Amino acid sequence: MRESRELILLDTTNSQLVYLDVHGDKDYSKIRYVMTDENNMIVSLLSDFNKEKVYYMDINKLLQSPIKKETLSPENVIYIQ
Amino acid sequence: MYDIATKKTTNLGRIINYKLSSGDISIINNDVFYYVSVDKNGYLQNCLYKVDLMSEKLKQVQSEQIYMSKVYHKAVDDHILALKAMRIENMQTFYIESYNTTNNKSELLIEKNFDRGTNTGEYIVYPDYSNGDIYLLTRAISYDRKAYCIEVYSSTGEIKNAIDCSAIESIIGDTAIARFNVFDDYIYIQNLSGVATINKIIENKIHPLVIGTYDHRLDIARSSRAPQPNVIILFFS
Repeated sequence: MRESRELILLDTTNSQLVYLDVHGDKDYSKIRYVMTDENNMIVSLLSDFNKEKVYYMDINKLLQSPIKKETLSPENVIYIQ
Repeated sequence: MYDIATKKTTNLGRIINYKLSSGDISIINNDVFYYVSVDKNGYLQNCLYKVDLMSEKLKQVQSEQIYMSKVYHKAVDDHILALKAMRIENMQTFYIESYNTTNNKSELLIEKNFDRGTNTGEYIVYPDYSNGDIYLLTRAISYDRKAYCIEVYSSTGEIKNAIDCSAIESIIGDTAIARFNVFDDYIYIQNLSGVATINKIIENKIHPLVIGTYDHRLDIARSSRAPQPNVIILFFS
């Protein structure tokens, strides 16, 4: 499996996109949970991360200008919870 | 079959002359279904297999010759919705078949026709199912226009809605589609080059939110079980 560092959670019930900035995290074992399909696993993944690295994305902002990996950063796009 | 809890491996059976599969699986109760194209005297024969997780047996439940090497399919209650095609001379018909796993009967729900001679018409690219409705990504091609559209049907095949996809035409391009997933008001589309978008449906149009490129793929982790979880994971790689 290729290493991945930027995760986005899409919560369809409340129309929320969450960006997890895991750059610099040395423990990539947590990312393996991405491959599971259990809802509670996904939620626990979110709680595993340092809250300072969890950002809630502003969908209205994304509608005006879709984001790519190159422009995905807390400073650039994200409405910080 | 590998049991994660007991770490026991069981040999379920063997598929002779296996050639291709879409990779889709449909899970209904304790049964796992998947389509495989096998070689039969130089022709592709499409077979539906069932793995019974209780008896730990592999069984072929359907076999036919169709004009579709990889069958995309979804589990809907005790049915399997499958995208298939047949061809008579230049006319290729794409259709959604509903296979009842209880009585083993199939029903044709929706069809589109494409003329391979003139390269015009309409075809079904990829099916999905969300909140009781069938979503079809379709492509219409005329002499001067190509357009993707998402058509929404009831589970019995009545058209309910059409969603404009013009906002992603330039992103996805003409490359064949590899994945199409619907999650309530959100649509994920990925082409075979790895270019992908997650989009939101607003007033019968889709609007891209996040775009993955050939260099920075935007992939998705999706459950094979229905219903889908409310939280979906996308990841850049």
